[in-house]
Amino acid sequence: MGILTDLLTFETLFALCLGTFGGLIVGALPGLTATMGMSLLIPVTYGMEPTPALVMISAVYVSAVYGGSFSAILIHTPGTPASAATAIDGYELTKQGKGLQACGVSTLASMSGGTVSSLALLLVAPQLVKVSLWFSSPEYFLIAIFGLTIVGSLTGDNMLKGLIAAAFGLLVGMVGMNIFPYSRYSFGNLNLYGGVELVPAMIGLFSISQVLVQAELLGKSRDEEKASLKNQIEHAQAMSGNFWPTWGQFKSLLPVMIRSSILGIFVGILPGAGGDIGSWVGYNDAKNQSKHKELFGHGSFEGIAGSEAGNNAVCGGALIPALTLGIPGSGAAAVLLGALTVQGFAPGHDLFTVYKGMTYSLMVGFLIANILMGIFGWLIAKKAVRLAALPLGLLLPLIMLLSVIGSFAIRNNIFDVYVMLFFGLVGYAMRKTGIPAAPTVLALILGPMAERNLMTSLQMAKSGIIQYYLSRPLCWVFFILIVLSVVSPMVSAHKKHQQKAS
Amino acid sequence: MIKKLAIACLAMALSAPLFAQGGQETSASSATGYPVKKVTFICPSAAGGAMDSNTRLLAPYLEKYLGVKVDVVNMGGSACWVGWKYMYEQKKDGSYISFANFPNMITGYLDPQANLGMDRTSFEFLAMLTSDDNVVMAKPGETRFTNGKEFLDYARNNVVTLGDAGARTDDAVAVALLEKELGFTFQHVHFQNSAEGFAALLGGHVDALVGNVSEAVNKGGDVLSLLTLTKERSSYMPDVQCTYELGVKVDNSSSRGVVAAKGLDATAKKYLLDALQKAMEDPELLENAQKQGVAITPVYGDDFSNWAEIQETNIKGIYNMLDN
Repeated sequence: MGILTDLLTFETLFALCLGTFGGLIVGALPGLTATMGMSLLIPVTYGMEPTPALVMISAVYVSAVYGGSFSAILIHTPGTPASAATAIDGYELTKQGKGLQACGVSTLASMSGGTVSSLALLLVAPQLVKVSLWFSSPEYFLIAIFGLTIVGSLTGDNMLKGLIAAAFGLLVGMVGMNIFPYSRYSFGNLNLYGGVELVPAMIGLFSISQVLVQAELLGKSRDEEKASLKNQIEHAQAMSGNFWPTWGQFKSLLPVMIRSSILGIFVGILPGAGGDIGSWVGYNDAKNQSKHKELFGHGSFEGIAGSEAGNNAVCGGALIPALTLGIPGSGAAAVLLGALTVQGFAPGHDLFTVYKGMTYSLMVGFLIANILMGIFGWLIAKKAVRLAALPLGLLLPLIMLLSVIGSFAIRNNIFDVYVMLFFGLVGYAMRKTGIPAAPTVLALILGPMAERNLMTSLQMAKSGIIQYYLSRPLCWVFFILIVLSVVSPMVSAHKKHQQKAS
Repeated sequence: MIKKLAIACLAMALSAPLFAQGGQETSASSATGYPVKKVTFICPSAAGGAMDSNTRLLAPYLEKYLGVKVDVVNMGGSACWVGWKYMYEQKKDGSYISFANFPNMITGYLDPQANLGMDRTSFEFLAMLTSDDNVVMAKPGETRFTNGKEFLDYARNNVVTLGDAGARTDDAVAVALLEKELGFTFQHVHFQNSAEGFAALLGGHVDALVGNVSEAVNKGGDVLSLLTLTKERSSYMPDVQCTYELGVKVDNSSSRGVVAAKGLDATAKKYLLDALQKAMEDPELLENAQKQGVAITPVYGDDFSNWAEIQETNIKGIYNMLDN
């Protein structure tokens, strides 16, 4: 218990509640994503103690992913991309007058997905960190390469666009110094000497771009759309019935939730695959295993359970490689990693030894957030949909303001505000062309990591570099993973081709 | 209702950093001869690190003895040069001072590619706060060498991979100084930071690691300290051999202190030197430093300046060896 003294302070518990509640609001607001809420929060938590700061940011993560399901179910607008799969059956159920029950199932599924994955985090991370001492530069180089091979393909429906996004991230990652202190592509600008600051870049890519996209809607939405939204909201307000599912219903949904939770954890661990992928994987699995496949698309509780357990399970899974190896399992985990660095911590062994008080507080706080969000959600479910009517004219300037203050506050450097604006414009262009932003951020982290560790491993090798890599058993594992991840899409494409031909 | 709640939340989020900073402010009287009303104390690295905690350790006591407000501002980036360059471009009336770390400052301006337009003569050296000696460490249970002498003997005849916390850090300078004095080389492994270096040492991926005494003390029994780069044995580890007792005339450390831009107003300098000296002798500061494991090793004014000059000469002698 002594290990959790950091958690059991007023400041941390308050931060936990505020983060969970705030995350719920951010998630329920269509257009505001978990990643965006987290990246805006980093500068805000900058002056706080590390434990409450990190607990708050991670609480926003899980809670926003869950909060997105309300607007998905009740007004057919996913609050975050992670709830897109939920909207399909959720809104059908709302039309059938079972909206509140759908929210209840979503709450229960999100809580169980989140809880299972927090437990996985608590159990697996400390074990993984023990073997993390076996990992050194050669392994990190190969892991980064492995991450890069799947980053582009996993993050969207269009592989080419994913690759473009990742390539852009790699390019930006080359700016500045690597292990040898020669600054590259800094154009003689001292501010770029150490590379592009990650947090302002993330705020730009995730927040400013979203503000710009949303700003297009300002004054554009037609009166009938507004009226229909108003109708939907009033409809949701008038819903009645039990929120929580019955015991029998719970038992029938339990297998779906457990399976989707486990799948979600694995999706989370993979670099680049975030809640959006997790929800689809969970949804598809629920559908494939279901005895009532005909209900899918027409209001299936199983579909909601699969999708919501899947997306919340991703959260804990994504933190496992992030905290132990410094490899973000999702865009949101990359933001949390950024927050960790801003607070002066390096991921890995030290987090679980020297700073274990903080790390365990973070992980247990994460677990509590997953339960707390369900309770908050239960209390505000009906009202949460009204957020969709919040005027953009009020919301967008506020986000803009937070973004500017936040980017400046990290180093008190106006240059970082320009960096943020630049990436905001780039992010806007990417959104307009359907290029996802998450691969860019992941490549921005993985690219320099790959290069640095390749250089360090060259320095570590006493014999030839190839022999050195081949003499390390773990390297073999990652070699095989890399080959598999490169070859398997080709094989499956070839098979499809053959099937068509025959 | 929800709308109001959401607005309240956002307002709270906005004001959180204000609260955080508000707590550190204390009132200051202007009944003093210091030429300006407020001093901005730049910490040229991000919050959370050792530089940051040192700066914040010193600031309240500097404020106490200077009699004017001292604000700490973090301005990290480009191995501290963003902060120093900023200071250099401000008024020299005593409004701006900065924390500084060595040998990082010296390796930075000696880099011909950096084009900083600044060097040692751009700074006014006010006071060194702390000095953390270098130490060579191995993994516990290491059998090839168990003390400094055995380590040097082994390295003379075998290839030894020796990690450090980065190519231009005090650790790397220490390695190069050792090589120049000993006449043989180690196989350098430049990690990104000391955390990476320690992980590699404990995992057995490098033979030895150069770090600082405070780090070795904090790691306790997790590392085996072999050799301190000091004139006498370190009081923190009296059982560990030092370079000078083995006849190796090399000593090096990571040192941190307070600097201002050259051309600092003479009155301001006089007051700053006086206040820094009083601050660093304040029993409360010394107690806090003790708690944080910071060894206060004061060197003031001209002595500090001379020290920096000697450091520069030493580093110039090994500069070409740093990037190997």
